[in-house]
Amino acid sequence: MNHKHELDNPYIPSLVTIEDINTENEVNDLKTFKLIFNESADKEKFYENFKPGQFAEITEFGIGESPIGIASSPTEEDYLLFTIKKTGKVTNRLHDSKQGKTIGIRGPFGNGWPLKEAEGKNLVIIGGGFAFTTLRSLIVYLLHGNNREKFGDITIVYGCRNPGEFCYKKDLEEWGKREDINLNLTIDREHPDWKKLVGFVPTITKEVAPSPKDALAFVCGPPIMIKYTSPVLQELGFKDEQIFLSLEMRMKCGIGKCGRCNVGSKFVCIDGPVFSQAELKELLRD
Amino acid sequence: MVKKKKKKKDKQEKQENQNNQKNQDNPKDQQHSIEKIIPKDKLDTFIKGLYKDFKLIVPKEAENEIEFDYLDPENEEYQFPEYQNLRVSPKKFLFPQKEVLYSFEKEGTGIKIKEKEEKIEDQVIFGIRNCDARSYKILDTFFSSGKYSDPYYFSKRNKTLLIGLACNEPMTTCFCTSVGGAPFSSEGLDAILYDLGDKYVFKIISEKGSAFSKYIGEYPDVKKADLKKKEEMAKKTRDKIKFDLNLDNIEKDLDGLFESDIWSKVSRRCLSCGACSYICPTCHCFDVQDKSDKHGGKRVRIWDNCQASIFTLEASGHNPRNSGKERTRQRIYHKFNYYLKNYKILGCVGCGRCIKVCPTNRDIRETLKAVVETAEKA
Repeated sequence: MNHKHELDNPYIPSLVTIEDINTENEVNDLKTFKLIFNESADKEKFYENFKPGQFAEITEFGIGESPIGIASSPTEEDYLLFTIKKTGKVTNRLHDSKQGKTIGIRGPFGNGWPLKEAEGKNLVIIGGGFAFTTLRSLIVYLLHGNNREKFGDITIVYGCRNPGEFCYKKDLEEWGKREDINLNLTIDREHPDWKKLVGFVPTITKEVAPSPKDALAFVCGPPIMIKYTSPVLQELGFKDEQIFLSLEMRMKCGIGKCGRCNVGSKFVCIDGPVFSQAELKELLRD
Repeated sequence: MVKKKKKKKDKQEKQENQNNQKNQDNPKDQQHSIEKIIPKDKLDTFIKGLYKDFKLIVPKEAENEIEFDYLDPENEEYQFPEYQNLRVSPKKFLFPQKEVLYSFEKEGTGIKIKEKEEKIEDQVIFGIRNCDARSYKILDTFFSSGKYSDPYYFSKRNKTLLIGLACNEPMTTCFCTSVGGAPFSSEGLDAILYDLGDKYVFKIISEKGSAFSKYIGEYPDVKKADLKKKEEMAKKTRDKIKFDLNLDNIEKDLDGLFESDIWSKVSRRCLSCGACSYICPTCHCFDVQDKSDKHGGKRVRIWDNCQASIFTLEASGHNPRNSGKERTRQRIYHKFNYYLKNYKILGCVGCGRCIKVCPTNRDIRETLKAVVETAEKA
């Protein structure tokens, strides 16, 4: 079989093996899958264009395919991480999987977070619930090796309903110890075991966000969080060009062909998923 | 190789304004222009010649209608059946309603992917109307756009030539002249036949179409009188299309009407059945589904339809296009605004099939008229 040709067809998945599965939350509907490429050529091809903020299409053979944000950073070179909520046919089957199973992957797709633009700037990274996945990829990337010095102050706001819902607890613990980032974890309501911040993401953002001067905001969360966080950032003086949001739409192909993930004239899969607030204002949104 | 050439051509076309594209032969292709007369009783001989090198897809009498199908000239004599245009466009020959993307076999806990092995022979779609030829131009542009070209579409497209039959009798639902086409236009075709009543004029249009010159060498050259008759017929036929709407500003018009209440009005009778998009020669949205048993399975893509609520229904239950209003709006904006923004062409060829097929008699021309009139008033 001509392997090169296989890689050139964007509809054909590469094979990966589930090496590890980690349950992230108390409710047990979020699992992080650690995936290893079966073929090194496929891996190289994947990492050629891989940036934080992108997504991939995960295949359960015979069941279907789902677009999932990539939770690992390109700097984590040995494996890919995907945190997946048990929601539909594909994700249910994934949740029932055991280590060693072969699944498929296509990607990476989409534009990712605007890293070039972020260099030299102060960053406020705002996430809610399990939408934190591609923000994890971003933060791991920013803190890797010499990358940290390319960016200004880094402020993180990560909110969940209750303490049991936070993903990546090990990472959070590590980031909490670092002096070169300002990590703010918050839950919606008081909880007996919780000694950190309490309050909704927009409220905490208002308290901890940096000055808008030379700053960018990266936001990913449920629609309700975005709805109330954007006005807070604007109140703080962030312009539309300084606010970046990661969008989701139902999608199939991931390569701009199946036709359903458009927001106005743009496709979330190829023109996004990350858009600036300024770009979004130009689009005709359903 | 062909694809590379095509991409370059697309780029040039993208730079042209949609208005410049209107129904003229491509000047670049003029040097290939060869015009011959094919007597009506020689059409079958001509076709048998083509068949030596090409599979032929032609309009054929089927049970209740005329449809595009493969011809077997060894066992049947061919003359064009009588048709204005066919109910179903030949879209499916390049973009099938169901298409296997790949298959796989289960091997223990592992998987073996088997790429689709397709032997595609050179083929000619024969007797295609200008509107349907232009629909392939739209599909060419779309499927080659961006970073990813669609390998399944182009594996067939690159092997396909189009010989048109100019349209002498447009239907009452036709509106190609409002969207840049014309009954006698050769745009998008590799060669064209004009039916002058007692004979055909055969003209080679594109560089690819010059491959046909070897089958027509023996036929007489076209005479001045024939060309004159052709021009007269072109005009006469064009005048038969009564609907005439200037869509030069449609992109801008729609830019200002996204929140207008016309979308509630024009979508009121819509049943969200999607017949309009399944029958449309330019609609290209698809769903992807897996089929499997215990040994393996396959991944298939299937025509999909933006008028169905499930098209954009997300796993969370959220649906950005939840009602007929948003979905009708999406269909019109996709073809008459987003296409212009992204590719500088319209996404509609004015074949009128959606008008004929709508169970509640909705008419895209009425919608477009409402858009233009509302924009004028605003």
